[in-house]
Amino acid sequence: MGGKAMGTGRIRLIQALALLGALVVAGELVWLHILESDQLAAKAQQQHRNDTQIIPQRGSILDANHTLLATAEYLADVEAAPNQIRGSGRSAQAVASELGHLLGVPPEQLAEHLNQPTKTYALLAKGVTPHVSDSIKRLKQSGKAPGISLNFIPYRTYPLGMIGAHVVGFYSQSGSGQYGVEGYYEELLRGAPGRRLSSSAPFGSDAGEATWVLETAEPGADLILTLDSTVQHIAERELEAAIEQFGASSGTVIVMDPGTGAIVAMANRPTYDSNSYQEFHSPVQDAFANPAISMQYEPGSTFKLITLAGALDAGIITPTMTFIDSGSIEYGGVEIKNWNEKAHGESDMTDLIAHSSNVGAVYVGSMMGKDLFYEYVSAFGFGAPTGVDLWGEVGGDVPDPGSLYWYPSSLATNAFGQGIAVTPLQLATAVAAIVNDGVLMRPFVVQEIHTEAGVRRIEPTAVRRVVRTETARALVSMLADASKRSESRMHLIEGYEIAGKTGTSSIPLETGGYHEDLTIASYVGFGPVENPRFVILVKIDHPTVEPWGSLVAAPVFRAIASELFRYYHIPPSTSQQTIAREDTN
Amino acid sequence: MIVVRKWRLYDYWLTAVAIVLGAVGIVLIRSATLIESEVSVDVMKQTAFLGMGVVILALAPKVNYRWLGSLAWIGYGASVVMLLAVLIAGVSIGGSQRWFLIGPFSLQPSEFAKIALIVVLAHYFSAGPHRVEDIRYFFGSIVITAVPAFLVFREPDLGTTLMFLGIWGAMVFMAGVPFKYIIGVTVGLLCAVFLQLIRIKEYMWERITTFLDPTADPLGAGYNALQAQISVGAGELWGRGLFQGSQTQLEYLRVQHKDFVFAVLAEELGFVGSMLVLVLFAVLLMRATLIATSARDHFGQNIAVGVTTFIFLQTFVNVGMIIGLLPVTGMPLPFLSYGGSALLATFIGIGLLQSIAVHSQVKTYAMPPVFHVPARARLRLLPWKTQSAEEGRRS
Repeated sequence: MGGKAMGTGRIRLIQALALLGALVVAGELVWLHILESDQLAAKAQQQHRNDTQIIPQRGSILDANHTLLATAEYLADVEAAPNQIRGSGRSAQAVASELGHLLGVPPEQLAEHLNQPTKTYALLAKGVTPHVSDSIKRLKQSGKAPGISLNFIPYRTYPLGMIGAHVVGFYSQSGSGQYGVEGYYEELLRGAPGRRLSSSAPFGSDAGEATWVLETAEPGADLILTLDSTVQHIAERELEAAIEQFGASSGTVIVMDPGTGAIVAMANRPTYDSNSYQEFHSPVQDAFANPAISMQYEPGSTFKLITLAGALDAGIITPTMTFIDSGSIEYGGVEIKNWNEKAHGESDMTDLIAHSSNVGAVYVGSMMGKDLFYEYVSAFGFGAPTGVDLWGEVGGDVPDPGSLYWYPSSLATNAFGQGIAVTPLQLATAVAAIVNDGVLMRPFVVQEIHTEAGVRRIEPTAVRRVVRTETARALVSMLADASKRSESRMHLIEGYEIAGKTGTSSIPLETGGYHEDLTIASYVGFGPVENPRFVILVKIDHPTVEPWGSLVAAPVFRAIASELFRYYHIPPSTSQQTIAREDTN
Repeated sequence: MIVVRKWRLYDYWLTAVAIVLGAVGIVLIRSATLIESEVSVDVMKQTAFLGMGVVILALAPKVNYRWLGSLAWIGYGASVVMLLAVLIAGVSIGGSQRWFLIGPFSLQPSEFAKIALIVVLAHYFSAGPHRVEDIRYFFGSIVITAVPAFLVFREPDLGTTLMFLGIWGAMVFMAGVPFKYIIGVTVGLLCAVFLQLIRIKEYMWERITTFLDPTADPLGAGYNALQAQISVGAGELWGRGLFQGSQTQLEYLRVQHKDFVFAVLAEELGFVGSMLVLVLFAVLLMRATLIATSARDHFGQNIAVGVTTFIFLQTFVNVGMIIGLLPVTGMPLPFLSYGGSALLATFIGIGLLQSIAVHSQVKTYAMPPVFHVPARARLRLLPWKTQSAEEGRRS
C-alpha cells in the first residue's frame, strides 16, 4: 500500500475551520473597508497633524560675471511651544538658561516667553547662524530643549550691499521682492511653495514626529544680470566723487551697451544698502524708487541730438546747411536766447552742436513743424516706458500738440530739451539708438533665467528703426567733429575717440517758471566713435559749485570711459588725440 | 529523465504567488519607510532576502526532502541551542530578547526554529499510525514542542510561542492522534492558561483588555489597534493611493513595515488591494494543501501539513489582529512583513513543499540501489513501491 491517505474526516474539519476563518476575515474587511469606512476615514482626517507650507528657496541674482548680488540661504528661526515644556519634566528656567547662552539673550527674558503653559507658540529668535542652530539641534537630541523647534526659512542677503541696490531692489519684511529686479521678477524669484503634513504621534516621550511632503517646493529661478559689478562700482565711485566735489544733491549714471540695450551699470546717489533698507531715510516721497527709471527731468541740451536726428532723417536739414546764429530768436511769441547770450554768426549744423546753440535748435525745430518733431520724439521712445525689466518705470511727459495746454512756443522750447520730461534711461536708450545705426533697442538687465527646467537666454530686442542708418552715421560723425571744434581740450582721453553732448537744464517750479539758480548738469556720450562699445549718461542734480554740464558731468563721463577702455581691453584709435567734450551749452 | 519529471511536477503556481507576495511586501515596506530617506535600507535588505528566497525555490527540486529525515534531530537540537543562546547572548529590542546581531543584519532564531520543529515533528509522526495511538508517544511530541516553545516564551515572544503550539496541534491532529488525547490536552492547556493568567505580565494583560475595547484608552495600549483599524477604514474601496496614505506616511502606526504592514496595504490600496492579497494567500494555501494531500509518504505529508498550518495561522492571526478580530500579539505577516529571518524561513517552508511535490511522487531515492535486485523482488522488499515508479524506471 502507498502512504496513508489522510484522514478525510480530519482534513475536511480543518479545511472547514480554515474556510470559516477566511470568511470571518473577509467579512470584517467588508465591514471596516466599506460599511464603517466613512467614520474611520473621518477619524484619519481628524488625527492631530499640521498642514504647513514649504517655503521655496528664493532664486539668486548674479551679475554678468556671476558675482552674487543677492543670495538666499536657509537660516533657522527658533520657535517654542511653551505648553510642551511643562510635561517634559524640565523647567522653563532650565530650558531658558540653556538657550539664552546660545542665543545671546538674557535667560530671564526667554523664561518669560517659555513660562506660559497655555501658549502653543513663541518666536524666540530669527535667522540664527548655522553654528547656533547646530548647537540647538544637539540640545534637542540630548532632550535638554523640549518644545523648542527650528524652522529653517530662506533669508535674503546682498553680498555687495549698496552696489547696484537700485537695480537689485530688496526683499521686504512683508515677504516679497520690492523694487528693481527683486520686484520685477518676484514671481520667478519666489518659486512655488510646497506642502507638507506633519504629525507628532500623541504618545508620550518616544513620540515620533513624522513629516510627509505632499508637494515639493519649486525653488525660484536664478537671474543673471547684464549688470557688471566692476563697471557698476566704477560708476558709483565716480558719481559719488562728483556729487561731493560739486556740492550736488543727487545723481545718476547709466552705462549701456548700444548694440543690445543691455544695461551694464546703473548707479544712483543717494542710495541704500539692500541688506538694511529699513535704515535708509530720504526726504524723497518714494525713497527706494530708482531715479534712473522712476524720476523724470527736463533733459536740456542733450535733447538737441533728438531734434537734429529727426530733421536729418526727414531731409529737412543736411550736416553742412547753415543758418545765422544771431544769439536770439523769436518763435510763437516768445524770445529764446542762447545759453551764453552770444551770437555765433553763420553756423553749420556741427557748429550748432559744438556751441550748443538754442537758436539753432529752435530754427531746426520750427522747420520740422510740430507733427514731424513729435513723431520723431515718440519714435525715439519718449513719452512711454522703455519696457526695461525693472520695477516702477515711468513714461516721461511729452507735450501733446493737440492739447489745450500746448502753445506754438512749446515746440521751440522742446527742441532744446525744456518743457519736456524724460527719464535718464529714456535718454540713454535714445542716444544708444543713434549710436546703433538708428535702431532702438529695448533696454534690459536680466540676460539669463536659470530654472530647474533649464536656462532661458533673453535675446536683445529691437523695438523699431527710428532713423535711417545713414542719418545715424552722419550724426555720429557730426558729434565727433563738434568735439574737435570746441575750444577746450580739458576732457580728452589720450588715444581714444569719444563723443557726446552736454546738457545744463533748468528745473521747473511747481508754481510755473524755472528755478533761478538750481540746474541739472548732464552729459551723454559714447565711445569709441568708430565702433561704440558703450553709451554713458551722467546726470548730476543741483550742483552748487558749478552749474554747467561741461564742467560737472563731462569729467565723470571721461573718468568712467577711460576706465572702461582699459577694462574692456579696447585698443587705442589710429587717429591722434581727440577731444572728449565740446566746451559749450 | 528524472530531471524532466522533477520540473514537470514542480508547482509553478506556488512559486509565482510566493514571489508576487514578497514583491508586494517590498513595495509596502518602501511606502512605510518613504519619509526616512531617498533609499530605504530596509527595502534593500528585504529585496536581498527575497532574492535568496527565489534561489531556495529554484534549488528546492534538487534536494530530496527525505534526506532531512536523518537531519531532523540535528536541526532540532541546533535550533534549541540557538534559542538558548539568544536568551543568554542575544540583543534586546523593545524589552524582548529575540535577535543576534550579525553586522548590519539581525538573525531571529525563533523563525528558523518553526521549520526545525515542523521537520522534527514530521519525522517523529512518520513512523506509522500504530505508534500514534500510544499515549507515551503522544506525550513525547508534547515535550518536543514544549522545549522550544518555553524558550521562546522566555524571550518573551507570546506570538511565536502560540505559533509553535498551533503547529503542534495541527500536526498531531493530522497525524491521526485519537480525539480523546486531543480533548484531554486541550482541557489541560486551558487550565494552564488560566493559571498563567494569574501571574501574567502586565503588557499581556494590556493586550487582552485592549483587544476587548481598543477605544477605551486610545492614546495608551489601544493605540496601535485603533490606528490599524482607522487605517483599514481610511482605505475605503480603492485605497488612498500607493505612498499616499496619511496614516502610513505620518507614521501613526508604529512598526508599520513589520507587524502592521497589512494596515499599510489596506490604507493605500483599499479593500480591493487587501482582498487581492488575501486571494493570493488563498491560492498559495490551496496549492500547499494539494501538496499535503497528494504526498505519498507520512514524512512529506506531515511536513506539508506543518508548513501549511504555519503560513495559514500566521496570516490569519496577523490580519485578524489588524482588523480587530484578535489581540495584538506581535506576529509578522508571511512574505509581506519586513524581516529577513521570517522571510527566509517562509521560503524554506515553500521550498520544502516544492521538494515534496517533486520527490514524493517519484517514490524513489535519488541514488539507485547499488546491488541488483530483480524488479519483482524489489516490489516485495519495498512494499510502498508503486507501479508507476517501476514503469518510470523502465522507460
